[in-house]
Amino acid sequence: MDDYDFDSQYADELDALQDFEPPNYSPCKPKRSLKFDSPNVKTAKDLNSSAIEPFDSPEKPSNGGRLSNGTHQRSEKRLRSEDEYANLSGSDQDEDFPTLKRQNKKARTEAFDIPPPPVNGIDKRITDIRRQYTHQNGERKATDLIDDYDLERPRVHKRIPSGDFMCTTNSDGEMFYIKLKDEIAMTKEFEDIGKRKKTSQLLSVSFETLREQAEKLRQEKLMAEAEMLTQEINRDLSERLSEDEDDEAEKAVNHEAEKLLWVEKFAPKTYTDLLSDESINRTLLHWLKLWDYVVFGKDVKLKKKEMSKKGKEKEQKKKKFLPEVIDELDKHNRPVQKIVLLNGPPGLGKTTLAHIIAKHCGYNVVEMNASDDRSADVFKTKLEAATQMKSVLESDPRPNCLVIDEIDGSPQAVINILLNFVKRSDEPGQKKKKKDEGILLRPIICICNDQYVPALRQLRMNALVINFPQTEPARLASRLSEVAKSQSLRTDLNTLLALCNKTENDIRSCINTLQFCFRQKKELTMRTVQTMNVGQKDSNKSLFSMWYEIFSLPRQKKNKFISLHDIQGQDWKKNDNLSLESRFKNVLHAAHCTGEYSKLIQGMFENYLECKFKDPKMEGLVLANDWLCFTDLLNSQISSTQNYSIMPYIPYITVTFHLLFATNQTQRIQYPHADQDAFLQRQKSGNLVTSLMSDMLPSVRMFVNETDVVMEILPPLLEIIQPNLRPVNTQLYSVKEKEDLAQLIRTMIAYNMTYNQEKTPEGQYTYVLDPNMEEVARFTGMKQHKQLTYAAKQLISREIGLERLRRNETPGLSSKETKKKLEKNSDVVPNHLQRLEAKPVMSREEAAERDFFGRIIKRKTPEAQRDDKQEKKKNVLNTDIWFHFTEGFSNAVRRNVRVQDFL
Amino acid sequence: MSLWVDKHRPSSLNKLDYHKDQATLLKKLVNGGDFPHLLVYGPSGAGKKTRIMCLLRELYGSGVEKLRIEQHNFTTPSNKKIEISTISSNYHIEVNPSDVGIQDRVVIQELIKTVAQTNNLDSSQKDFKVVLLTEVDKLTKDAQHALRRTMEKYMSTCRLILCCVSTSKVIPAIRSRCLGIRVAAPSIDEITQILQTVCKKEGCPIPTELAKRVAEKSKRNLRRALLMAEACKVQQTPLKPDQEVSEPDWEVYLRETANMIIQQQSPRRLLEVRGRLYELLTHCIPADIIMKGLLQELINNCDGELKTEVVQSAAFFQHRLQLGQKAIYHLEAFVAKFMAIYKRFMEENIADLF
Repeated sequence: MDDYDFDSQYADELDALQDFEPPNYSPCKPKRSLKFDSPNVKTAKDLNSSAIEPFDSPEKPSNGGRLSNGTHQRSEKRLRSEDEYANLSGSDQDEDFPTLKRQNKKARTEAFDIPPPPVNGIDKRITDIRRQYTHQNGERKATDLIDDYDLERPRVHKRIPSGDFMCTTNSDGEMFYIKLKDEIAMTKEFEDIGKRKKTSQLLSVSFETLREQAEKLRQEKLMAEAEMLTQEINRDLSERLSEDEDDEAEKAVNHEAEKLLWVEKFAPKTYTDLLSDESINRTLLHWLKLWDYVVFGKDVKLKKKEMSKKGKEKEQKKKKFLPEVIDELDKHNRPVQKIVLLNGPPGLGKTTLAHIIAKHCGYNVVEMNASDDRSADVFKTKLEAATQMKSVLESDPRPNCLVIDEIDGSPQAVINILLNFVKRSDEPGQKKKKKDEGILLRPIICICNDQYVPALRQLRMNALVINFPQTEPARLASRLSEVAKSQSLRTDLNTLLALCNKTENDIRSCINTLQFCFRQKKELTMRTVQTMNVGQKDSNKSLFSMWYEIFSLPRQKKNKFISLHDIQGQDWKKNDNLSLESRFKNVLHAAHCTGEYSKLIQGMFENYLECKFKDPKMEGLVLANDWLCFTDLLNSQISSTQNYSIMPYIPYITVTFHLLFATNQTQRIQYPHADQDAFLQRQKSGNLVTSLMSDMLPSVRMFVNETDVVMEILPPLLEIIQPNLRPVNTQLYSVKEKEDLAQLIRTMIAYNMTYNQEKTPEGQYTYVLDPNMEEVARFTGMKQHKQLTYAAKQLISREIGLERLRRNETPGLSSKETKKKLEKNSDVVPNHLQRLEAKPVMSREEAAERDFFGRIIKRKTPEAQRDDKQEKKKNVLNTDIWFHFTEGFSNAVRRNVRVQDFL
Repeated sequence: MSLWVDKHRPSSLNKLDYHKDQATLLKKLVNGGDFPHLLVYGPSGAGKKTRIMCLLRELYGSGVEKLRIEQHNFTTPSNKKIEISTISSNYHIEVNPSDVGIQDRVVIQELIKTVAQTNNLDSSQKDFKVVLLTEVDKLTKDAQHALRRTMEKYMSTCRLILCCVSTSKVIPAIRSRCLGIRVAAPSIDEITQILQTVCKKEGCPIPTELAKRVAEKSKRNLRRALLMAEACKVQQTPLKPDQEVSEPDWEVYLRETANMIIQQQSPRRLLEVRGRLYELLTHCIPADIIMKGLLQELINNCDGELKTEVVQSAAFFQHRLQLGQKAIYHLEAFVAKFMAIYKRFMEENIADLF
């Protein structure tokens, strides 16, 4: 052994040291290795006895002793692996181990073992082996270290050393000789160090080797376990099934499937495996085949299909729910319906169907689902990539078929992109303009749970919509039993049928439940299915179905799946859905599922009196109403204190109603509108009152509030404002009548009321109160109140307008003055109505203001302007005859007429 | 001033027609130049507001009659904008905080603070303003608690006059801070007399019989009595003793509803009654008034034995009505309860007959 060798070994050792005791390690002090030994002297002494043993065969006895509690099988295996290991490291072991300093080294290696982790099985095995290895290595290296690397060895000699040397003199004049090394050997040494460093590792064994070993061990263990299991199962099965299954196959299956979900494992692989309805499969397949011409260039046998279509139509009359594939190709030889929309509840195998059929037809399936990014831009690039490109690198370049899963969750923008893409090039001109955008040449299958999502509305119109029906329970159950058999899960068909029933024929849920049970215990019984919470969907019931459930007695439901031992048990009552207990539970559960309690209760409230229940003493009614009040109190408590902990008490009202009012007769349930209507109406009335109040005179407003207005003031007031007015010109009124009219006008203004002209749907003009207090104060079906005539209302309306104008013009004008002016001012009624009134010729008495030079100052206030206009109008009206033509009035037509023509 | 109610409203404490002792007391109170916070309570149409206005006039002179309506905007702590209109003169401000519902606390705090914090510079006037709060019984508890501190804090610059129908919903803390003034409803005789004087002034003398009938129908509510009298006058000008006095629609409607309940007790009838109750509610008739009206009509038609039970259940449901949100449930529950009681009673009686 020369220096080179030593150094290279030393490098290894350094690493090992680093591994074991990093903080103390310092590479420039190789002596440290000796120090390292010192703390372990005691243990070395303890281990003396074992150290005396010959070193040639250390492993077997020590390890055997340590693992003596392991099974025989295992130890065998271990031995085998150790043998292998020995082979692996054989090259190192070739060198003989010097035994001189073995005690020391042994002690040190033992120190590494101080914390032996209490591991079982594989881990333990691995650590054992590692320990073994380090032991050997460590010893060897330590030996090398001590033997070869003599730390006290002088590098500088006083005498002439053997071999090449160089002499040198120090400051004191002493001569020294330094041994020379071969240059080539030196470089090699350095290189070697580098290499060794690279391949060296922190562990004494390379990680790969370790992993290999672990993997091997694990596999062996699994194999052994599987073997044992199979034997056990076979023993069990042989009693019952008496069929011997191939051990090997079984083993393999178990081996692979340990991690795999059964849903994936037992997913159908070919078209014939599909569980979904045959007609659905065929429809989809048919549609996909229509693409053949565009995609593969094959001829689609259209004519033949049309022939058979007639026959098919007969079939389809039987099954009307089936969508019809239109067997036509458009000008690009694509099918007319370019998209299929598969629609159905979760777990029926829609995605599986799409994948299998696409594969079956020779497509490469590209799937996009909700987990992908669904922003519009990303979607567009993906869509184009999927439909217009194909994979080149793969050995089998197949055309793509795009499957867009869970499309009902995607935003409207994405669906619009899809639609545009599909519709593109339907117009011939478009294609030329946008050359970069190709047309859709690949089939697209969309999958959704709810086809009535608003975003999908457009898509539905353009796509072939295929509704997925429920899987047949019998088929599903038989498939489940196959699965169970292949997994040697003990069960029977009835149980599986019950499971199907429970999960509402959700394939995924069924299989998951099976796997779940398999993990827990190797058996699935009726009782497990019934008591299990797994597999039951948290379904969302519609309000209507809930109301029907409340108000109708449950039908006797024959439960086919009751087995004998269930009846013996206590749970058998659960199957009987007519018992009080189960009715209670069912209704309560349904109510929980429905959620919207307030709507639910309102619906019950508005429908329960329609039920034909027997309640001669009306005690049930009282009880039901009590419950209604109770829930109302709960609700108000919740909303005022935000104390939602009392919320769970609310749904119990459904049980009360069910038990009180459920009948066998089905009845029409009506959606509750009354409350909402009443609320809106109430709000409307409230707004009317508020608007009335808002513009009342402060002196009146001061003394009233809203309730007073509604209850005390309005009813008499409505009568007060409808006095008897003689249907003659106001000019002809007596002084008292004039006073009454003025009084009326003042009252109405004080209470902010007027008449407004409105056109009825029949085309007639009427005057209605504004704000229409009649709506608030009058009740339908009460005795009719006297109404003013149209003319009277018109008169009042006009007078109110005038009075208001006047008050605005001269605030603080006393009522007497206004009364004087009443007759003198012009009117503001729309001019086409003016023919109804005889126009008194009026002249403005208002003294015009004059400036210094006596010129008339024109006031430019809006009031004055309006007066001017009115004056003009008046002149026109007074001098001319107006013609009425369809809707308008004009005096532009002139002709001579005699007075007698008008009389 | 157009309606008789408004036209003939007395404007000074001297001119009040009834409760004259109280009027003199009020006058004495104000003559000192100051007065404590007041809590004026009494039934609707008894003249609370009239008295308050008279009091203010006594205090500040005719300036208080120059009223204006103002809109005030407030922002709640939750950043919600609320708007409320007030009626104010130079000397006082009237506000109905319950107009803004549950946000009334903000109104109370902000409005009263701004009013109370401004001092009057004009030395000739009183150094306090009056804040008139109406419908105090509809205030939320929060608002009432906000009020109690404000009342003490701004005593130097403002006086509060609280106006409500019943003090039962005013927290004791506020009641103890105010001088309570109860304005009782006028008696039938007083109303009759007032009606006669008013009609005389209006130049259409009212016969005593008619005046009495109107007074009775008005349920001792002077405002209603005057309005009804005026309605009578509009109907037929020389007023006659046997003239028909029209009642408010809603009262008639309510009475008919009660009769329907008495006639038949069945789920179907209950459904019809519900429709009518909804109708009443949509016409802004408060639920407690409906309950009260129903009870009164029903009691009239009940046998004496039943009365206590019916009244008891009515009280029960009325209480729940106050606690709850959906009035229709509670009204219907009361009707159903009455039906059950009445039906049981009728069946027992029929059984006794045979």
